[in-house]
Amino acid sequence: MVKKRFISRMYPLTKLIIALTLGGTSIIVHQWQFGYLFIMPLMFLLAILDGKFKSYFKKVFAAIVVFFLFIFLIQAFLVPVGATIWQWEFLHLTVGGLDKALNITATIGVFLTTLLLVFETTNMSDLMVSLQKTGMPNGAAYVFLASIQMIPEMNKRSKVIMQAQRARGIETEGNMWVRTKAFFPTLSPLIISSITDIGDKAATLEARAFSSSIPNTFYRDLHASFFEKYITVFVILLCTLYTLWRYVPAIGGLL
Amino acid sequence: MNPVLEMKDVHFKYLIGKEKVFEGISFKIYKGEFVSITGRNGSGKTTLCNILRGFIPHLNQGTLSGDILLHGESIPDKSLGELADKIGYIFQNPFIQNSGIKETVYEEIAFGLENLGIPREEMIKTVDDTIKLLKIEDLREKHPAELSGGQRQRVAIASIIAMDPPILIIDEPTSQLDPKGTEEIFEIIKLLKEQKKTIILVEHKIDQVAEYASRIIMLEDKKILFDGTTNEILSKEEVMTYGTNLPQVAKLGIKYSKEVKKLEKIPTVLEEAVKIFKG
Amino acid sequence: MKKHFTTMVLILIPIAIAVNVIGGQLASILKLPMYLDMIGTILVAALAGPIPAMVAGGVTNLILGITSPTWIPYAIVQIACGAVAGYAAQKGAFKSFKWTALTALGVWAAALLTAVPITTILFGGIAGGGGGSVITAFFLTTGQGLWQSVTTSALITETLDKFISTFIVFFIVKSIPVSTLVKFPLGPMYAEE
Ligand SMILES: Nc1ncnc2c1ncn2[C@@H]1O[C@H](COP(=O)(O)OP(=O)(O)OP(=O)(O)O)[C@@H](O)[C@H]1O
Ligand SMILES: [Mg+2]
Repeated sequence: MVKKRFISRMYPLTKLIIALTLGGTSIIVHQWQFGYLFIMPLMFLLAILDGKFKSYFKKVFAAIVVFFLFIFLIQAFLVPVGATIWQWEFLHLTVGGLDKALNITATIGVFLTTLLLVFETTNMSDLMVSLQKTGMPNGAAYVFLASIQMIPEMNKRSKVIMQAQRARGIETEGNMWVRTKAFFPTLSPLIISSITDIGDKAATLEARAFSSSIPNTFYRDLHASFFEKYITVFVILLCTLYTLWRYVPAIGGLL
Repeated sequence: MNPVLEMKDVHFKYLIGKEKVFEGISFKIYKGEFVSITGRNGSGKTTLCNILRGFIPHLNQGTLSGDILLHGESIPDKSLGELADKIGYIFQNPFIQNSGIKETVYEEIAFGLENLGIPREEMIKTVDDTIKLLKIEDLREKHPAELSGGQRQRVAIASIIAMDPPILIIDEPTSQLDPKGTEEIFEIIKLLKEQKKTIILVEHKIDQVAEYASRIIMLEDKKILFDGTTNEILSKEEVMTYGTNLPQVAKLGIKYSKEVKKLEKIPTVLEEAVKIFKG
Repeated sequence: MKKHFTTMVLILIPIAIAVNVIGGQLASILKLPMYLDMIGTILVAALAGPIPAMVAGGVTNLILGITSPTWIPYAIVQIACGAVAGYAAQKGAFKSFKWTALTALGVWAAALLTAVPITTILFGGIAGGGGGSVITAFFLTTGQGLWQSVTTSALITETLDKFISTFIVFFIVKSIPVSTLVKFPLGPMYAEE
């Protein structure tokens, strides 16, 4: 096994709380510099330090590019606010529009880069254990983890059914109506067979004491260290101070 | 001695069933007994197992009457969670029998223990022991969804016996397995028998039943038709008219007894036959 | 809480979530002009009522959010549709064709009322999934306002989608064996006839 670097080793809940705090702060402070000049570069730096840069960058890139282009196109050019800086055909780049586009993308960018870093460096089972330890019910953890396993499994089965249907002559190409008709026979047998199995699956879980009222123990041995407990408090404090600095006139806010 | 499990005049009809499945079933099962339930398809073997484990009425409603007792206490009145470490249950279909949330076989086996709140050190020891007992070390780090039917069934059994229930209900564990898989499962069942567990097994493979079971309960027409020692039941020729096969040696014994020389005892397993025919 | 989330329902929810995701993928593989990513949610609504349906819908988008977090705010759309469909199902809507059509109308309205503000306010007009953005941009160039453009674009993508999804569930409920149906909270209702 590869030795885990520090972000990957960090207590899952700590990472998640920090990510959400930063995202929330970027909504409140509404200042594009926070996202573009601080958080986003920081997340890339952390990803590099954690040895995860390549796959992380790919994911961020895939999530961001088209999306941000569209937002800039619409907000900066097509919804004019204030003076025009630059103009070509029907596209007007305005001061207000540019500002709005920067702010929206910065907020989305903060959420995207922090959350993707959390998910890139966290095993979902570990995240669930850390949440269960703080009192999240077992059923909730089950729903999450079972979904994560079920999706690829059902995906495989749907491909098999679609192949079989092509072999039996059901059209999957052609006009829209033909394609819509192909949808139903692919998905519905999958749904019905999965649902018919639920009864036995429930008995299976019950046979493993799933609904036992005894508090769970966990095979995965996770503990938040002293540092991990207090870093969250520290980050929340910093974010609060930043928000105050931004909005309280007495200390130079809202300039 | 008090019975471990008991049914007294049990009647049952599924919520949407037109007819009753049972009309007055009674029996007692004692500690360490190995009981095989037989009967034709649809005679209610699975239903009986489900009632004993509380899956009926908890997961599957219907009209249930009579007493169903575990050590004298009513099973339907207990919650499913309470029964989990008292009565283990192994199902027919290996493919639906995993939790669907664990990443390795090791964690899959630990799942029941986590739910029972077993401390981590003890959990690890139990899982290690179970893996060794069932000789599935090679599966330990595999993903539970990437196993063959036979492997899945062994992992499912491991997951149940890790919880160490004194009673085990096993419903056609090998009907979807190949001969090799079947053999591996019966090796495990033999181990469980040696551990003196109380076992209730539904199985069509009659040679295995003859070899392992100490008692047979046969269902027919909503009632118990026969209930007796394995040898007693499997030496009755009429058993075959109720959809249960007889072991080859028993068939030979019955024929020999009728046509050649009356036998004191009809053999049901090979060793017995050898002994009897040697004289 | 226990009453809503029986073990049967807890197992149903991940299946529904997978159906949502696979449905959405299949719709895009078949190049259909619809999302079809809510069939699972509506199915849970039909079998178990509004609260489990809201959970199934919400978690669907949280899970999609693991790879693309922009899906997360649209959890609200799933939750709203699950609530409407679930409430209707409790009143027996999925038993008849006519009431299923009305439910579809409710689901459609819930989707529009939630999706349009999220797209306009949070994402500045760009649908988190990408889908209707080209259409939105097109209407903007014709001189319509942002809200109007997003709404028109949503009308085009949502209408057929929600009706087809709701009716698929209507037919699926009819095809589930009665012995399975009765094990779900709302199941006995469909077994009455
Ligand atoms: N969930 C259910 N709802 C209604 N009827 C059922 C249900 N499950 C089983 N039955 C019916 O009850 C009867 C007994 O079924 P059961 O599955 O217990 O028989 P079995 O002896 O285990 O059969 P097999 O040998 O096929 O496993 C059958 O007539 C069956 O059709
Ligand atoms: Mg059976």
